[in-house]
Amino acid sequence: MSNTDINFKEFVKYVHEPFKERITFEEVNKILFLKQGYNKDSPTSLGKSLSLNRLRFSGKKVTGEDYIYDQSLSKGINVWIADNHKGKSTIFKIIKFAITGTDSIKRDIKAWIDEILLEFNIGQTTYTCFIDRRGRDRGALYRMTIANFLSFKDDQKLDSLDEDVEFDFKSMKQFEEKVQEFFFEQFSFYTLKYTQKSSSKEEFELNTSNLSWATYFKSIYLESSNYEYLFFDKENFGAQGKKIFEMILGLPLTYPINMLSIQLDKISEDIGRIKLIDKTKTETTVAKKQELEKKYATVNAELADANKLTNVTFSEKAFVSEYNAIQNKVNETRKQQRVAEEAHRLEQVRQRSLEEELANLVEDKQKIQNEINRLTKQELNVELYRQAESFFTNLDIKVCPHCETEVSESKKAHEHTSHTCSLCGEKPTEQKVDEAELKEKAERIKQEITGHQQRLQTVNKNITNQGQNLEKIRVAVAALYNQLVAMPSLQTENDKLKELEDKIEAINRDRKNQQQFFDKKDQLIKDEAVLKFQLDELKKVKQGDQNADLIALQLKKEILDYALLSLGKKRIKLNESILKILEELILKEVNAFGLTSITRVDIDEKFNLSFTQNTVPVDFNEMEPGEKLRVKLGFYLSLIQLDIEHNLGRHPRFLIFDSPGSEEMVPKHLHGLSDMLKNVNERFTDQLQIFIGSALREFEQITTSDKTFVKNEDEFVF
Amino acid sequence: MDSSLRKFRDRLRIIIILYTFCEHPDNSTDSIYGTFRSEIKIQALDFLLRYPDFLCLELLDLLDSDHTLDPDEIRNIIIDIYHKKEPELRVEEMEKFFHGAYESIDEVIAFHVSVGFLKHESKKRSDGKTYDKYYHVTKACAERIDQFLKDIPSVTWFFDRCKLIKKYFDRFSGTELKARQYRYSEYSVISYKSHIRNVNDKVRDKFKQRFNYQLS
Repeated sequence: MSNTDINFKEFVKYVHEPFKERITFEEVNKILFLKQGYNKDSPTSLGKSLSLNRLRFSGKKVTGEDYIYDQSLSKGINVWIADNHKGKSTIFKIIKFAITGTDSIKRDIKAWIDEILLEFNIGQTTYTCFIDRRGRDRGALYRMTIANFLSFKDDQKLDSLDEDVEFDFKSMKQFEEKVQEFFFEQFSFYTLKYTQKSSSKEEFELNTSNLSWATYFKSIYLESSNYEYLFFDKENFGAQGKKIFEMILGLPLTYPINMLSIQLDKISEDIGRIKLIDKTKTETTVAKKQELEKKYATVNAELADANKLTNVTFSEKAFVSEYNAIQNKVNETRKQQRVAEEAHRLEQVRQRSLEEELANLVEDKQKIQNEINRLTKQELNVELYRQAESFFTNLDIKVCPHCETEVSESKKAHEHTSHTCSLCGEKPTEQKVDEAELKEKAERIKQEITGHQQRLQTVNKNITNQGQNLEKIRVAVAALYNQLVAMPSLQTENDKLKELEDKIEAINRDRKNQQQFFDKKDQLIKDEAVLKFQLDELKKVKQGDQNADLIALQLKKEILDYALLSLGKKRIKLNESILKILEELILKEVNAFGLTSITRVDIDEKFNLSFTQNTVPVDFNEMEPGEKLRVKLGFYLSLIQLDIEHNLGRHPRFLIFDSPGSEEMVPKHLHGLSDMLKNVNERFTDQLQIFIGSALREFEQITTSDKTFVKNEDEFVF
Repeated sequence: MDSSLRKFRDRLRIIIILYTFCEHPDNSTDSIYGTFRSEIKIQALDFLLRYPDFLCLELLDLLDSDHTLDPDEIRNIIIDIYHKKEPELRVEEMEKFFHGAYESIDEVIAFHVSVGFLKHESKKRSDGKTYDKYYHVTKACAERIDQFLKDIPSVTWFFDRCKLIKKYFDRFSGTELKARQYRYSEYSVISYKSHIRNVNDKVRDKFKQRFNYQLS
């Protein structure tokens, strides 16, 4: 038994005490009994964190282009930088879909996605969520990496993986249920409930709704549309925001307080109804009836008007189909352009290869020609020698060229007999070239020349042929080029597409603006239901004694009020220290983010966050947008730090921060945001994982380049 | 075999140059046919004989500076040289030597002296180096040339070419001819002991400019 647990029996006894004159212990016991007990909550952290390792999705774009987006993800801050409407939010929505089963992917993009794979770790265990979107969504959550999954898939062995399958699903609904069960189990989350009035005009009763995993995920995925709010738009609806907060903190007594409150809401509702009936009865007069009828008629008329007004369809359908038609035409033209480009390129390749071949042939020709010239020159020299060599033979040595002394007859005679030189006395080594040798050489040269001339003829023939071929190809290339440049320009279509995009955007904006009419319509529906009920009751004219029921209900209400008040007090006491720590953490964070004017943070018993700014208490909603952004980031980082540093709470330590500082924020509010995030990255490093999507280029500096995925201007993320 | 053939051609060219270009002074002795001066001029003339492309370039150059020359004649000479592919077939490669000297002709001269074709005369300076060389072609040599060499078909080209060179370049001294050659980078900038590059492109360009005719 933990020190925050309470003893149910003691509690019943305590609550029964002031009512013991009016009700038995057993009856109080019955009122206060909760199947799952009073000690379901524990603030002690499970030490588990969620971190994403890899996202891979694939399919075919509307342009017909197949694509695979495959991105490894790291701990710490990961940043996607791309222009607006270029797919950053889609990446996050795909992650949200794979983690919660809630599909908020834009309708036009949805059709592009065939398969999604998301690999993540919870603690030490690696999971891969696989979703096949072709047809009805189906898939499974595997205990393995994407790489393993792909290898099993390639081997057609996925069906044999029973042991590694956490769960499988055959529809989106099934997926949503199973993935919620899985994450609730992993992070000890459970469903908190809240009551709401039905918007259907037929029903008057309160409905009970559940806080789902997808709702809790709003504390992870901070969407740009929700920077105005600490949690999300309509967070006051059923106090969902505060309930998320309670769930993440894991504060003791959250479960019993939630359950008893629901019970109390229902009882109050019953009491109200009975009172309304009574009131109706007691005040019944003809005049009253007439007045009601008149009112009813007015409301109905207004409702009819509202229906008409809200029936105005802000349909972009016509524009979308025109857009698609133009897009198809553009695609078709692009396809033709590609075909023409490819044909032109191929023909150019042929041209280049032929040009190269021709150049080689010309080079060959030159080489052969050179060889023929060299041989002809040799032939000339041999012939010269043959014809004129005798001019220098059989000449007597007459004079010494050195001293110009005439050679004596006796020396000449001696040369003849001794065969030694009459000048130097050495035996001459130089011999006259043999006639036969010369003849043979001349013959050989002639043959070689003939051979080369034949080769030259062949090469010349080839040059002529290939030259003609090249000319033909050049004509073809020129023709293909003309075809290519004659392709129509897509400028007009692109302009039209831009125009249609703007129109569709405008419709979406208008639709948003018309929300007030829808809200009014909702209110009218409710009014109409109340009036109808009152009139119906009047018509019944049936008297019944409902006093006894009313008294019993009122007693029950009193008991529940008292029990809740007690639990509330107890909880404040139990949670005092946790909330104190959290208050300090939040204050430290917002100060670190430059909001030094905030000197105090308070969390009251109803989990309302309030700040003391310049000595004045202010609410989150009263802050400026830039301040809100900082406070919101500080708040979530504090929740994560509570887990990291104090071992309290159960935030999965994973945040998606979509477009902090989007276009609706003025520049001064953005000032220092990138420094602030850089500071977060340095402080927390691998203890958490934060994804940021932004169009702001200065965000490039927040984290290391391997975790920064930058796209050029106008370039799609995938 | 190639070196024997080459040596033969060297002897042939030099003796034909000396025979063609020698002067016949009035005071020549009975045994002397004519006298030639100097070694530089032999080498410069030999260069024009060995490189028909340089010869053409020199002719075109002369045409620029000397207006008394007949352009048509020179035009036809050059067309004929290129038509007969002489820049490929008739080039007798030689290496350029340091200080602009040419291939040594000492051995060739020695041979011609030893067989009595030439008599050789030179002055010596105080450092022992010879200068102002005279080459006397003997009558015996001239007679033998007239009798046995002039009519050999494959040799007539050498006599004809020497006659042509004589017509246009005999008026220049050896030093002047050498200076002219040094104006061409193909000749002057090449390194010691390497072969001289041809000037065919220059000739073709210049010829085209002057005569608007593309040489083959």
